[in-house]
Amino acid sequence: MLVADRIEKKIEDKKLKIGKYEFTSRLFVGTGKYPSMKIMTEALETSGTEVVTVAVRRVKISESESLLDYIDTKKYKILPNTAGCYSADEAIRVARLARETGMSDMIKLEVLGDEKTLLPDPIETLKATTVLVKEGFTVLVYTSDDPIVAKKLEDAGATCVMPAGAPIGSGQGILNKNNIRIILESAKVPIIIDAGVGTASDVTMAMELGCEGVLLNTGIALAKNPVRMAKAMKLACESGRLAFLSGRIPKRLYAKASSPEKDF
Amino acid sequence: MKIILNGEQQECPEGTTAEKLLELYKIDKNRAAVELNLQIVPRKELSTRMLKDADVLEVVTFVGGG
Repeated sequence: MLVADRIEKKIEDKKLKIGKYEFTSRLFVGTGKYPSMKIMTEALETSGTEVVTVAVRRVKISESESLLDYIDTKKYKILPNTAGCYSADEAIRVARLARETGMSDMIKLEVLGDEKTLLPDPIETLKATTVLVKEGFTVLVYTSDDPIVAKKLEDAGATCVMPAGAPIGSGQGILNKNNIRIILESAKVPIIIDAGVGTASDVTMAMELGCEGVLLNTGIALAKNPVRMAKAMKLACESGRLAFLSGRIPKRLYAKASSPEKDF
Repeated sequence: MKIILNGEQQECPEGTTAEKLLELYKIDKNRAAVELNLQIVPRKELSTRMLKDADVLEVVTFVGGG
């Protein structure tokens, strides 16, 4: 084995486990809002993602083109969401329909509180989590960065808890690192930052904090060059993860020389 | 007979099954899920579930989303 290969092997990361599924890539990417299907497929490819989110909507009778014509379901695991649901009952209905397609038992559960903030409704989210867990879904649940709510969702049996870094589509990054830290401290399930990511450093930040992954859509899809941004997000995710695993130096108030003191 | 498919009234012949309806509208059943009068039709029952007049169907699939 070459030296370089041996070193690569030594620093190799373990896989991300979400219930019964395992992934090498820690970046989950959405399929909405791209300028074209071609750009979407290129961005997904470049991002290195293995999990793509999709929404559940009525079949349009007159439309012959389907999103699924552009997504290789052998390559990507489909993660349907319950976007646009404002009650537990609606979200449960959408989740059941999504599973009945036979494509995935994973569900990105989101139950929103209002249309302006798109913030999650914690009470309805918890209700829906309890029901869907009982029905055997692999529940990845979208939540705010509130540590108590995150804990309650974990206790309800969520496979993965996904706090927002910032409001959906806002691109503000991780607004409350301290809350994410507190969530990570006690979590026994994977924590994935979902929403609010605007650029590469936001992804790195999430991973450096110790999150197991990042889910994003708008940050790539609406970038001026989505394909290039997808690559940036991939590298950012890997960099942040490596830095987290490496154990950073503590921050100091004063300087500390890197070279020995001059002795002549 | 008349049914409501995704919010619109449509005509379909007597004795149409859920699966036949999908074929009629060129919907790939491997990419869709069907709800009949607010009850999900399990995939394996699509070919045997008979539709009747005034049935309300929702047929959903996956679209781009985050």
